Amino acid sequence: MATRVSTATNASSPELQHERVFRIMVESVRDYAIFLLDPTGVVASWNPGAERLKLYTADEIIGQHFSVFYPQKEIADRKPDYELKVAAQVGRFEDEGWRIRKDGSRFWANVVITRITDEHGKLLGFGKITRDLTERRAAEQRYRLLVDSVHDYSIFSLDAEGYVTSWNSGAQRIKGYTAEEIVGRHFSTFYTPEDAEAGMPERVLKTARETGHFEGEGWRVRKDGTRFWSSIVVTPILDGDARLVGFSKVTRDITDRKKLMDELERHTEELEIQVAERERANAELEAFSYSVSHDLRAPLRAIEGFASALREDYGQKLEPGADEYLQQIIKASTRMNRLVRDLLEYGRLGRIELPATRIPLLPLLHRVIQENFSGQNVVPEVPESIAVMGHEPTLAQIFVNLISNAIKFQQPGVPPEVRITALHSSDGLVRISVIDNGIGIRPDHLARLFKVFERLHGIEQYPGTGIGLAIVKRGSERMGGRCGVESKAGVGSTFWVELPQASQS
Amino acid sequence: MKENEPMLLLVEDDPADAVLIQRSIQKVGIPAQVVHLKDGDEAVAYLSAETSKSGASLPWLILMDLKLPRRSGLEVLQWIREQKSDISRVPVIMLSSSHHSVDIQRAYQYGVNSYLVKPETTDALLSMMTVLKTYWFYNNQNPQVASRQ
Repeated sequence: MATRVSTATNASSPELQHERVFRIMVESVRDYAIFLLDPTGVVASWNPGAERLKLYTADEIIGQHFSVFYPQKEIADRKPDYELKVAAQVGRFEDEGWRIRKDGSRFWANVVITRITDEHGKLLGFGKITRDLTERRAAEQRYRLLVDSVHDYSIFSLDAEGYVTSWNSGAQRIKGYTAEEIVGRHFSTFYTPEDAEAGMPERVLKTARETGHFEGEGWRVRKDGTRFWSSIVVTPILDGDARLVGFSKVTRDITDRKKLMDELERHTEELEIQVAERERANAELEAFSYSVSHDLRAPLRAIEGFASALREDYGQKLEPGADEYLQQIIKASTRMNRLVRDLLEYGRLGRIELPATRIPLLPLLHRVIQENFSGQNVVPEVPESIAVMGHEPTLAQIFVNLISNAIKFQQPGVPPEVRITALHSSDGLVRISVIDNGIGIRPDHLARLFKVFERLHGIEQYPGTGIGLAIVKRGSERMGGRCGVESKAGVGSTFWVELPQASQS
Repeated sequence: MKENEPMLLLVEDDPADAVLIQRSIQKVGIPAQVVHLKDGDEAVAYLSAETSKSGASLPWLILMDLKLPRRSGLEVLQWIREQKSDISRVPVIMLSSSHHSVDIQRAYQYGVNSYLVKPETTDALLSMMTVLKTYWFYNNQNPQVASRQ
C-alpha cells in the first residue's frame, strides 16, 4: 500500500515525471553515446549507446576524465581541455575525429559538446553526444580515392555560386591547375572569353539547377591558355532538405574525337561537292547529247528526205548515174543517223541509272526475236525457269546487238543459224550465250572486239557502226555482269553475257 | 483545194522538215487543206483570229513541232487547252525529233492526243502519215464534226 502511495506521490510531480521520461529515452538510445560530464570533464552519466560504442560499462567509466577517449597525440595537444573551454564559452562545440574505445581500437566520431548551466548561469557540466561515423568516413574516403584516381576525367565540385570547391587529379591533368591554384576561383575561368561574355557559365548552372542536369560540348581553356574540346556533365548537389549546396562537374577532353569528327565532316562535304559537280557534269552531258540528238539529226533527216524526194519525184528526168549518186547520199545519211544514235546510246549507258528488276529470260528473248528477227533462224534454247537481275531495256538492246551480229557475219553460202542458251554458272551468275555458225574471229582479234569503233571488216562487206559490242560490254558491266567471246575462225562464234541470277519468284 | 475539205494546221519551224512533211501529206493523200505556220506565236495568233470570227473554221487536226521559236509547242498546247471555246478540244499531235521521256510525259500532261517522233527515213515518214490519215481522217470522230456538218 505504502509503495502505491509513494508511486502516486512521485507520479503527481510533473517535474519528476518529465525527468523520468527523459532518462528512459536516453537509456534507450543505442546508436548514440549520450552522457554527462561535470565542469572539469569527469564522466557523470553513461547510457547503453555509450557502452555499445566505447565498450566501457557505467561502473567502469563514471568518475573518470573524458580524455580517456582521445588518442595520445590529442591529449598531448590538450585537445579535450580546449573543447570544453570552447563549449563553456560559446555554449557548443562540434568536431569530427578519431576516438579510442576501451579495447584500444579507434573509431571516427562526430562529437557535439553542449554547455549545461543553472538558471543563474552557473556551469553545471556538459552534455556530450558521440556518433560513430567510421563507416561513412570509409565510404567518403573510398569515394575520394576513386575520384582522385580518375585521370581521364576532370571531376570537381562547385558551390552554389559556381566557385570551385574540390579538384581531382584528372582535373589537374586536363586543365593544368593544381587544387591550390583553382579552389576558390569561379569556374567561368575555364570558358573562352567569348563564351564567358555570352553568359554561358550562368546558363549551364541555371539549366543544371532547373532540370537537374546539364550536358554539352564546347571549347574550354587550360591554365596555359590553350583550348580543348570538352564534353561536360553538370549535376546539382542538394542537401537533405533539397536545398542547392553546389554542383558536381565532370569534364572530358575529347579534342581528338572532335578533330576526327571535323575531319570526317570536311571529307563528307568535299565528297558532296564532288558528287554535286559530277551530277552537274552529267546533267550538262545529258543536255549536250540531247541537243546533239535533236540538232545533229535534223539536217540528216533533210539530206535523206530530199535525196529520196528527188529520186522519187524527178527520177525519170535524171541521167542514170545521178540516181546512183542519190542512193549513195541516202545510204551515207542513214549510216550517219545510226552512228549518232548508237553513240548517244553508248554515252547514255555510262551515265544513267540502270535499276535492276527480275527478268525472266525466255519471254524477253521471244519478244526481242519477234520484234527484230522474225522469220530468221534464231532459236532460244533457254529453260523457262531461268531469270536474271538487270535493266530490261538494256538487256533487250544487248540481245538485239548480239543476235544481229550473229546473223550478219555469215559465211558465204551458209544460211545463218543462231542458238541462244542459258546456264547457271558457279558464282551466282547466269551465262547467256549467243552461238552462231558464221565466219568466226581470229584469236588475235578477240581483244579489240569490245572497243568503240573497232571494226574487223570493211563497211561494204559487213555494215555496222562499230559501237554494238561496246554497248554490250558497257551495258553488261553496268548491270553487275560481264561479257566475252569464244570463237573459231571458219566455224562460228559464241558471244556470252553473264548477269546476276534472280531468286525464284 | 476543195471547198469542204477539213483544215490541217502544221506548226513547224524547220523549213526542210516542213517541206518534207507537206510532201508526205500530199503523197499519202490526206484529205485536208494544210495551213503551215512557222512558230508558236503565229499559231496562237492564227487560232485566236479564227475563233473570234463568226462561222469559225477550226482545224480538224493540229500537227505541231515541240521546239518552236518564241512560244514552244508545249506552250501553244497549254494555251489551246485553256481556251473556253471549242478550240480547246481540237486534237493536237506533237511531232518532234525528241524521244526524251521528260518531253513525252510533259506533252501528255498538257493534254496532247498523240506524241510522234520524227522518223529518220522518208519511207518511215510515209508509212507514219498513212497511219495518221487512216486513223484521224477516217476512223476517228472529232468533237467539231457536230458543229461543222
